[in-house]
Amino acid sequence: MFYRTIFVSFLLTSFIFAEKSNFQSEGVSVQMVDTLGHVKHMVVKRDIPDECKKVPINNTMVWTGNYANAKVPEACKSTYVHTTGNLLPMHLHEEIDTYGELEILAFIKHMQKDDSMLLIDGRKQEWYDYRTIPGAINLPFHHFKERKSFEFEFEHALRILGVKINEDDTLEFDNVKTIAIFCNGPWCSQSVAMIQALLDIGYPAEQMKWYRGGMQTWLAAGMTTTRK
Amino acid sequence: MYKFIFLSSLFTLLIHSNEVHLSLLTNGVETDHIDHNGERQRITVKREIAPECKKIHISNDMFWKEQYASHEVSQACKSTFVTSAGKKIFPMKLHKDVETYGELEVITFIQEMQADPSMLFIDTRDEEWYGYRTIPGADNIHYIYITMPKVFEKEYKDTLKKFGIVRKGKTFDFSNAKTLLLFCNGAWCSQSPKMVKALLALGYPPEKIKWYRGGMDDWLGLSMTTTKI
Repeated sequence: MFYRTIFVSFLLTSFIFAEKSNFQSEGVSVQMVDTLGHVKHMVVKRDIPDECKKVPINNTMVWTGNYANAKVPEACKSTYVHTTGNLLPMHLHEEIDTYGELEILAFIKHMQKDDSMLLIDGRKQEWYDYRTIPGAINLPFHHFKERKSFEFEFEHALRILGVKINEDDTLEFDNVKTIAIFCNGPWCSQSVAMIQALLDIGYPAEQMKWYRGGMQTWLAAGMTTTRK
Repeated sequence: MYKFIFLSSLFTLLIHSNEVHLSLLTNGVETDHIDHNGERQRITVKREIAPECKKIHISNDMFWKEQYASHEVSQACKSTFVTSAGKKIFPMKLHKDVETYGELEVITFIQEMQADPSMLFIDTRDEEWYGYRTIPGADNIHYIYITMPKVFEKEYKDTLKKFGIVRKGKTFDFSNAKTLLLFCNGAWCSQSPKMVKALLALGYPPEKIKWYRGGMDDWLGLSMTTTKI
């Protein structure tokens, strides 16, 4: 399991460095199943509309006012609530890698051919249904955090993660998936609550990755989502 | 089992130290800031949340519909960013021994550098950007001073001196080199990565270089104090 993790990390790293910038503009194709069970194919990449390529990167266009200039076309900017939640540190745990956009993109690419990798949106279903990262499955954090109240959902989630539930209720983690978890942004504690719950039950830390930036940073980088 | 207990206690530790950082975010950290005109100011750096922003309901409607913060969210609680800038997004790590910082690590650095002259916080953008708005306490050293030493001979020498690098013939002595924290406009901005790369090429010890990948984009996107009011 340890060697596997090392191997996957190595793969991801070499992938990122080998592909350089093409990787972001050409994207990776992904198969996803929505909550209604429909299978869709999407290309996930950094989507930069042509009109945005002409926007000069200078102080006036990027930072004056609040902050993108009025002259920047709507397609090249977006507005975020910046005052919610508590900010989270860069690392949650020594053994849990923190991922950025490139690492998530590489993860999405590899999980297309590797059933042992899962990208997980830890938010509640309403948010997931509205807009998520293509390829992500939805395992809401409260099924983990409040696992005593959501016994059925929690057990179902554990099976998806490859955790074996023995007859005496002990758990086995020999065949668990490598998971990358995210929620709304660096201020969102839902993915953290889920990671905490998974560590509490004994899920191997090195099989968990955390995308701290979440939806806010994904969208701010102009990355593809399930909603146009 | 022991491993599990060990990991849990580690995790608790991190969460605990996180609480220490969190108090820094609400109470703030005071720092001197010397602006581009050479004037010294005293600024408290913290997460600034206007009272009206505390009442925003965290819902899909308020956050992600429209483009993306709802029109119902007051202007003080949201901000608009260019999403298409930069040729590429940088990876989470530039080098295995160069730590990547987030906002909590940055504010802790600002606090510690008040009493520790071996720590330097650096805005790697040019003077116009720095003068307009930066993170309080940051010094301005444009990345080209390091990447283009032949063009900026004097600035290059001054920078090496400021960083505590001693030139010995053709080699450098980094034994008194400062711990640097570098940033620029955001995860799409290549200026701080270029400076990190140039410093590593000189032989600067990677463990003495920290990188705030999120830069101005994330700093403002999370409502942290800047030099512009």
